[in-house]
Amino acid sequence: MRSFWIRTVNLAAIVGILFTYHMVLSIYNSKDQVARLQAELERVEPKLQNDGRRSAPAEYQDGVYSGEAEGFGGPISLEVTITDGRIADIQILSAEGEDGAYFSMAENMIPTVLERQSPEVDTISGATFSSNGIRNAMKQALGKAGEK
Amino acid sequence: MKKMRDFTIKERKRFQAWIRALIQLACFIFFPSAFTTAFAGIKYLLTQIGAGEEIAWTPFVAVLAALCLFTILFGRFFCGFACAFGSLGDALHGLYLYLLANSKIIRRRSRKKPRKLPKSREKWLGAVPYIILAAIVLLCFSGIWDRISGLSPWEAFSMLRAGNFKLKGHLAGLCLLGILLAGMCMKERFFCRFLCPMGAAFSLLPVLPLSSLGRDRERCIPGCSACSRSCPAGIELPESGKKENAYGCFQCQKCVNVCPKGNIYCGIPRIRGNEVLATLVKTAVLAGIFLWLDI
Repeated sequence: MRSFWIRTVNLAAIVGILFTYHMVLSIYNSKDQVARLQAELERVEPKLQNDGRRSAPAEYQDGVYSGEAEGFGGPISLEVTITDGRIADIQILSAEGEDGAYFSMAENMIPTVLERQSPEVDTISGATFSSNGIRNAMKQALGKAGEK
Repeated sequence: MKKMRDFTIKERKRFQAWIRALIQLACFIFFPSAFTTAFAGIKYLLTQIGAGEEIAWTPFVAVLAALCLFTILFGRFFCGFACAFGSLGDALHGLYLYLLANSKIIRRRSRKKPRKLPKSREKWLGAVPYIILAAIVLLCFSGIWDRISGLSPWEAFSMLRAGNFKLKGHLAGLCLLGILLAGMCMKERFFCRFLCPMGAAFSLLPVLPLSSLGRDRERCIPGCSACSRSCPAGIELPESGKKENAYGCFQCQKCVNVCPKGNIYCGIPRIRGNEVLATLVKTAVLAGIFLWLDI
């Protein structure tokens, strides 16, 4: 019975450390982000007043483009939607051979791609194959969309 | 309906073996990546913390947490019934035993039964999984792991299983996998007992005594020890009346069925005689978890 309680204390300590780490870092990061966004705003605002349009230039031709590439256990196919020359949406069409959890991890790349407007983002550690599959499929689709 | 204990030992053993094999096969087909996903949770947490990055409730962490919770409740049932790697080892060991008993080529060279390791060495080897777990944790924390993951025999296994044969960077892992499979073939659950880092993590958890096994020692046949000999985890059941958890036990239930007197009982007395039902309930819970988390 003693070993049970020792293990319980250990587990509680580990979970506690992880939780504290998570909390501290998310507070720290949110402060950091506020500062970063503010700096960005100050940089962009005068520009907006000058020419009255959005900063990012159009890069791709509008339309819906499909791409396919090898993932972990088979092909991953997806569709990239371009509106106003920007990557507006990325939809996974099929990823039959992928393992559920790994693929969901790799899908976390998509918001970053939309934010940066480029498929050149870091792969997700631990889900390298699925990430590479998604990235290569996106590159293929964007290749069809052609850079202006 | 006949109760389990009304069957002969041989019938019970065979029935239990079939049920277990079926569950293992189903889990191998439908949830083959559960064990690597849970371990990816550990690696993810340590890698992120080591790099000073944020940790989030990702699918890896969810699977890790769910399996840990399951293990706290039911013991290492996952290891014994649902882990694809353990099941593969069981299949290979089963094949080896079959060949030992039936093939003339192998029998000429060795005995009819597999060799046994001396007890003292088994005890020493039992500490190795914790060392491996600690090493991988440190490698992840220091950020080295991502660069040497080609060494991982699990990754090589997962790739082969998924039909991905681009194994160029994984030759070392493939060789290790071959050695491990050979070991699993010769000795039942060799990897799980003496190497598996995920098993080490599970056996560090505080397991509730719901599924722990005990025995009515005074009813035993003197000098029998059938339960200890049948145990693939090399566990000796505690003396009567003690509620000692065996953290290495992965609930294969072999001892329960091999006991000629039906002396072995579970943490919950009502389960006695209904072990198969309990096994099915645990399988259902585990399958529910897997489906829910979309492994």
